[in-house]
Amino acid sequence: MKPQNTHRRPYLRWTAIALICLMSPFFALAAAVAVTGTVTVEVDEKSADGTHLYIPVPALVFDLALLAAPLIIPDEALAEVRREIAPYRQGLRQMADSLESMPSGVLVEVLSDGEQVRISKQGRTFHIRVQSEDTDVSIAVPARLLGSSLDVI
Amino acid sequence: MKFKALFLLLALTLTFSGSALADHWIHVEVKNPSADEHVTVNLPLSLMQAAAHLIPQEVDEDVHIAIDDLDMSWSELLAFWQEVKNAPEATFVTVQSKDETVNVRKEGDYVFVRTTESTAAGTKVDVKFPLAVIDALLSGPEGTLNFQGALQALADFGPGNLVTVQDGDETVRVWIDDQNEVE
Repeated sequence: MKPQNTHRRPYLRWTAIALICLMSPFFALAAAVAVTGTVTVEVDEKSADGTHLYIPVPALVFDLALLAAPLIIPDEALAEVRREIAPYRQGLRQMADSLESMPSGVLVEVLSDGEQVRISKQGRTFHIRVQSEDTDVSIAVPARLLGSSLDVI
Repeated sequence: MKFKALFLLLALTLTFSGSALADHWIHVEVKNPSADEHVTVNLPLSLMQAAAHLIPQEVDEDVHIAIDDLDMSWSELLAFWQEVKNAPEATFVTVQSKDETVNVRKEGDYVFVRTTESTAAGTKVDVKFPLAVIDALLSGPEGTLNFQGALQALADFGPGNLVTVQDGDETVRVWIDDQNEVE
């Protein structure tokens, strides 16, 4: 039995290496998605024929879009945005840092006539939830996205 | 050794002054049981200070206009405030009219403003403001309000009620503490 095993081992080894090589981009992508977070939009209409929507988009897509923005947006338009934002940049940066570093909790909650609007932070993600008698809408955005946008602009 | 102690003291001071803003939260709660409404807002003071950077130039212009309306120059306003601040504890203003009573008094380190409408379900407003906050607010260049300084002073002053409004069933409360949510 032993000689047969030694024959198989080289194949197993090369198969494992090939599999790791093939799968490594997917592992890297999964790790990047896990680290950068996910933007999700969920719409739930409560009627029988209502819309039920759940869209998860890796925040990495937004990061790539932000990176590409300076290449797509005309220089004059970008310069104009940068000029307009310049006086507020320090404040926006501080706000972004403050929002990112603040602990989990409810920031705003409005309860009125059976409707609820709630903006909260859970871990590294902001959640906006609007609940009414006929529709629930829920949006989750990683807290770091505001800072990332400022970095690009 | 002396240098180390001085460095440690400086580090502790900076840590404390930085964390005062980070650790304190401003809360607004509006309750109206008859209309089944409940609104809560909880914001860290550090976020408010950052937001103070975004206050547009027009606000400074509005401050100028408001001071002009008082027929008072900026230096006269500062002098008036110094007199109020250094005065002994007292009631400065009491206005009693058919419809409402307004009372402004200084007590301890605070200025209290109370307005009460005469009707049974009339609005009652209580404002309690630390003197240090108004001091910091007026510490900016001529004609400008130092919002960031005021927020820092508010954080340094610690927890407490700032504004309470009772209007029939509806109540509004604004306060500061070190909790990030309303219990």
